[in-house]
Amino acid sequence: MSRMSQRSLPPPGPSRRGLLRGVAGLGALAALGSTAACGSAASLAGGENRIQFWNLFSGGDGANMRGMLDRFRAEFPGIQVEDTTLAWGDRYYTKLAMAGAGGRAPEVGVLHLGRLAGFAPGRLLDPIDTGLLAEQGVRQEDFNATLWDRATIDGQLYGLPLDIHPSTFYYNRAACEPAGLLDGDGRLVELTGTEAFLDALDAVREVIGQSPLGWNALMPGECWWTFVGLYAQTGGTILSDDGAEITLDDDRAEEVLAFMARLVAEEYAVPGQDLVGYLVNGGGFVLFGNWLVVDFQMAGLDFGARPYPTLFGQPATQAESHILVLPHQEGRGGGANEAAHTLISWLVKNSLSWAEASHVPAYLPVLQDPEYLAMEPQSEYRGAMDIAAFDPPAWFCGTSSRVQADVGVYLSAAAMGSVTPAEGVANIRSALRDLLDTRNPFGEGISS
Amino acid sequence: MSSPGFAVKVRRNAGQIVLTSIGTLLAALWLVPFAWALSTSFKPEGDTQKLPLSWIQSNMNLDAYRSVLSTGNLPKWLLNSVIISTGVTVLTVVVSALAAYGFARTNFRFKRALFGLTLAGIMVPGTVITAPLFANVRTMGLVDTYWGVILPQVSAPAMVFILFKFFQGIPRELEEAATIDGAGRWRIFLQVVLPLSRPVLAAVSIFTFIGSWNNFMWPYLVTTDPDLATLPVGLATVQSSFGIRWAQLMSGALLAALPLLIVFVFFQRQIVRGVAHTGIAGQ
Amino acid sequence: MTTIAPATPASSATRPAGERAAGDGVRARLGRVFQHGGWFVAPFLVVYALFLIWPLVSGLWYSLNETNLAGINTEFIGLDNYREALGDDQMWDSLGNTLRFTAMITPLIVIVAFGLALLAHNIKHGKWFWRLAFFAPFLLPSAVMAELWRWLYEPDFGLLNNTLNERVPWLLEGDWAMFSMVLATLWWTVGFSFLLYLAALQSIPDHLYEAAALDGAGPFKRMWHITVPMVRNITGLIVVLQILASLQVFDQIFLINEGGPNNETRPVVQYIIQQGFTGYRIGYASAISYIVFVLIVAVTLLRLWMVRNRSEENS
Repeated sequence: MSRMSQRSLPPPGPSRRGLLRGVAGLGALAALGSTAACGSAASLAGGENRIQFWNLFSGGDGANMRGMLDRFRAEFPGIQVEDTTLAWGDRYYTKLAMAGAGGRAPEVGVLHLGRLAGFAPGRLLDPIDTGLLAEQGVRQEDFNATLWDRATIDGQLYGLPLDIHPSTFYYNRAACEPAGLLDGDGRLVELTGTEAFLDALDAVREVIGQSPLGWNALMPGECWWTFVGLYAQTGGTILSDDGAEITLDDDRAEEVLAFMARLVAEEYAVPGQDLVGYLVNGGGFVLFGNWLVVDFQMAGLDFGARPYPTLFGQPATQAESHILVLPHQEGRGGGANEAAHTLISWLVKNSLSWAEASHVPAYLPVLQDPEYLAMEPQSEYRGAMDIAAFDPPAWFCGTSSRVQADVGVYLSAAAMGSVTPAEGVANIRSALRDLLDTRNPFGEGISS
Repeated sequence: MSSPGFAVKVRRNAGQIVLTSIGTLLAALWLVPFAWALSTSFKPEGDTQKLPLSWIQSNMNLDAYRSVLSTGNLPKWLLNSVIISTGVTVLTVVVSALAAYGFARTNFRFKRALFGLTLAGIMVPGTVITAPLFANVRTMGLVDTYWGVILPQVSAPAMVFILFKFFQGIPRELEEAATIDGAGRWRIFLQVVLPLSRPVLAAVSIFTFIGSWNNFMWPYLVTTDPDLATLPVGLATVQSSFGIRWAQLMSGALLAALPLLIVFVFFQRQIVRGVAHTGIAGQ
Repeated sequence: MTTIAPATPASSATRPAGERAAGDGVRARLGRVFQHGGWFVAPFLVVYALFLIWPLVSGLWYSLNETNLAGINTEFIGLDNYREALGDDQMWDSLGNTLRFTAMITPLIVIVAFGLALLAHNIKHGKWFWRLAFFAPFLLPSAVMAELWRWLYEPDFGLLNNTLNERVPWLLEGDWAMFSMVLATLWWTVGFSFLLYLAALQSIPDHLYEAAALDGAGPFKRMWHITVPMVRNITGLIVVLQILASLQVFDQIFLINEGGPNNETRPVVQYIIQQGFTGYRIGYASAISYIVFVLIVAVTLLRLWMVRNRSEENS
C-alpha cells in the first residue's frame, strides 16, 4: 500500500475517539483534583471578604498561629479567613511561587525575609499598601529600621515583618551554676571574645564530664547561619548592598572559620548530635535557632537563652524573619485586599502569643509590652532585634536556599577540619562567585 | 552395625546443623535493626539516650506509641497511603492489562511502533524525568492533589511488558474457541484471559502496591499540603519541625512498617512468586 | 492474524453462499473481534503519553531554556545549560558519588544475595522464616529504613558505636559515610535479589546434582560446576537491575544524611532535585537529567548487547 493511499484511509475511528475520550476523562479528573485541593479558584468565586492565608508553620508555632486566627475571626466576623498550613521549606516556596506565577495566589502568604530578593517582588509578589496599614494603625516607625528596609524593594514594601527568629545561645543552668557562670539573676555572665568563651566551655566541660557545646558542624545550613552571625561580629559584609559583588574580607572570614574548626577539633562540640537530647541529658550549651525553646520547655529543663556572645568585636547574631506577603493576584484589590491588609496588621499587632512560640515580635510596641518582658526566656534574647545579621540581599539567600547548600557545605568542611580555614575561605568565595554568575531563575521581579 | 546410609544421614544432619546455625546467626543480625527499634520504642523518652544502653529495662511502656497515635498524624498518613497505593495499583493493573492484551492479541494501526515505544519506556528512569514531569503536572493543575500523586505512577511500561509476555503464552486455541462460541473480545478478555492470569496479575498488583506504598520522592515533591502526606513523606518531614525524639520516631517507624510486613506474612507465596515473575520477565 | 481456527458452520441467517465466502465470514469476524485493539491500548497510551513521553520531550525543551519552577520569564539559551553542566564541579562530584555508590553496592548485593540464597535453599526447615528475615527489610519505606539506620549510626547513643565500644564516624566522615550508606542499602535491598536467586536455585533440576555426586564431585565442585553456571543468567539480571537502581539512588542518602558530610555522599539525583526545587532551575535540572539519562541508556544497551552476544555464543 502506498503511503499516499494509506493516508487517505479514514483513521480507525474507535481508537482515535477512545484517545480523545481518554483525554477528556483526564481533564475531568484534573478538574476534580484541583477543586479537591485548597483551590485558589474557589477564593475568586467566593465573597468579597473571604481571604486565603498560606503559611508554613507546621511546627510548635503552628498551634499559636491557629489560635491567633481564631481570635481574629471572632473580632472580625465579616472577614472569612481560610488558613492552610503547607509543608515547610522548598516545597512551600515552590507552591507559593507557582501560585503567584499563575496570578491565582492566596490573598496572604508567609515568606522568609532572606528569600524576598529571590522571589521576584513585583512579579510573584504584590506590594503592600502602606496607606491601608496606616488605617489599621501600623506604621513604619513601629519596626526596626533595618528590618523594614530589608522588606522594602525599590521603595515598595513587599513584606510586613511578623517576627525575627535569631540564632540563640542556650545554656543549661544546672551545668553553668557549678562552673560559676551565672550572675545573681541566674543569667549567663557576659562572655566577650573567643578566649573567654572557650574558657567558659572548658569550665563547663569540667562540670559535666562531656563535650560542653551542642552545635552541629555537619549541617551546612547550621554552619552558614553561625558564620553569618560571627562574621557580622567582625564588622564585615559578605555581599554588597545590591547583592551583586562579593565584599568578603578573607582574613576575617578565615579567623571565624578557624574558630568554628577549633570547636570541633578540640571537641567542644560533637558533630551529628541531636541537640535537644544533648542539652536535656545534662549538656552545657547549644547554638541553634530560638525555636528549640519550646522543646526545652516541654522537657522541663532549667535553661536560659540569649543572643550570640560577642566573640569578634561587635555584637551581632544571625537572624531570619517571617514576613507577611501578598502573593501576586491578577487584579488584586477591593474588599478582599482590604481584608488582607486588616489581617496582616492585626497579626503583627497581636503577636504577643506568637512570641510565646519563641519568636521575637517584630512589632516594637509588642517587643516593649510588659507581658512580653515577663516571658522567660523569650525576653532574654529580645536584644537580638537590634543586632540582627540577616542573610545577604541576593536571590540565592535565605532559609532553605542555595546559599545554605552551596556555601554552607564548604563552611561545614572547614569546621569539620576536612580543609584548612584558608582553603575554606577560597572555597566559599568561589561558591559565591558561581552563585552570582547564575542568572536569578525567576528573573528580575520588577519590570523597569 | 552401621550402614553407609546411616553415615550419610549423620553427615547430612551435621551439615544441616551447621547451616542452620549460620542461618540463624545471619537472620538475627538481619533483624537487629528491627529489634533495636522495638526496644527503643518501648523506652521512656528520657531513657533512650542513657548510657550504658540496655535492650530491656523494667520501666518500658507504650507512651511513645500513645503520643504518636494521639498527637501525630500517623492515621491520616496511613489513610493517604492506602488511598494512593490502592488507586495506583488498581489503575495500573487495569490499564496495563488492557494494553498488554491489546499488544499481545489484537491488531491496530501502528501497533508495532507503539509497542516499540512502550518497550523503550522501560529504559526511562523515573527519577530522571522528575523535574520536567513536575513542571507538566503543574501545568495540568494537579500539584497537591491525589491525582497528581497517582497518575504519573500509573504509567508503568514494565508492567505492560510483564503482562504482555504472559498473555502471549496463553494458547490461542482457547480464545479462538470462545470466539467461535460467539464471545466478543471483551468477553474473551474478561472471561478467558483474566482468570488464567491470576498469578501474574497478583504479582503485578503486589509489586505495584509495594512500589507505590514505599515511593518517597514523587509524593514528597508534588504535595505540600500536609493533609495529603503519605506515610513515608509524613515520617520524613515531621522530624524536621520538632526536636528528635527517638522513642517516638522508632514507634512511628515501626507502625509505618507494619502494614506491609503483615501483608507479606499473609501473601508470602505470591510475593515470592511475584519477584520471580518480575525478575524473569525483566530478562 | 496468522492462525485461524477451522471454520465451523455459522448461523444460517448470516451465512453467505459458497465455501470460500463462509471461510471469509469467520475470518472477517475474527478480524473484527481482534481489530481495533486500540481500545485496549488507548488508556495506557494516554497515561504513558502524558506522564512519560511528554515530560521526556518537554524536558528536552526545558533544558534548552532558562526555565524556572514558576514558569515565568523563560528565555531560550540553546545549549548553555549543557555547557554549564559539563563545567559544573558539583555535577561531576555528585555523579562521581553515584558511580562510587553503584560500584560498591553492586558486587556486594550479588555476593551476599547469592550466599544467603544458597544458605536458605539448603536448610531444610523453616523456609518461610529465612525468607521473612532476609526479605522483610525490602518492604520498608525508605523513610522508615532511614530512621532505623540514623538511630543505629548515632555517634553517642547509637547501638553500633556502643556495641563496638568505639567512636566510628559512621556519618561524620566522607568515606565512612559512603560505606555506611552502602551497608544500610545492602541490608535494605538485598532481599529482592535474594528471592531471585532462591527462585533460580529451586529451578535447578535435582538430577544434575545427583549425577555429579555419583561421579564423585564434592559439594564445592558441584556448586562451582552446576550452581554457578545455572544461575548465570539471573546474576546478569541482578547486576543490571542493581546498576540501574543504584544510578538513581536518592531516598536513603537524602533521608539519612542529606548527602553529607560536605556533599561527599550526595548522589546526582539529589543534585538535580536541589537545582530544580531549591534553586528553582527546572531548565538546568533537566539538562543534568539528560546527561544522566544518556548514561543509563548506555548501560541498558550494553546489557542488551551482552545478552545478544551470549545467546549467539550459546547457539
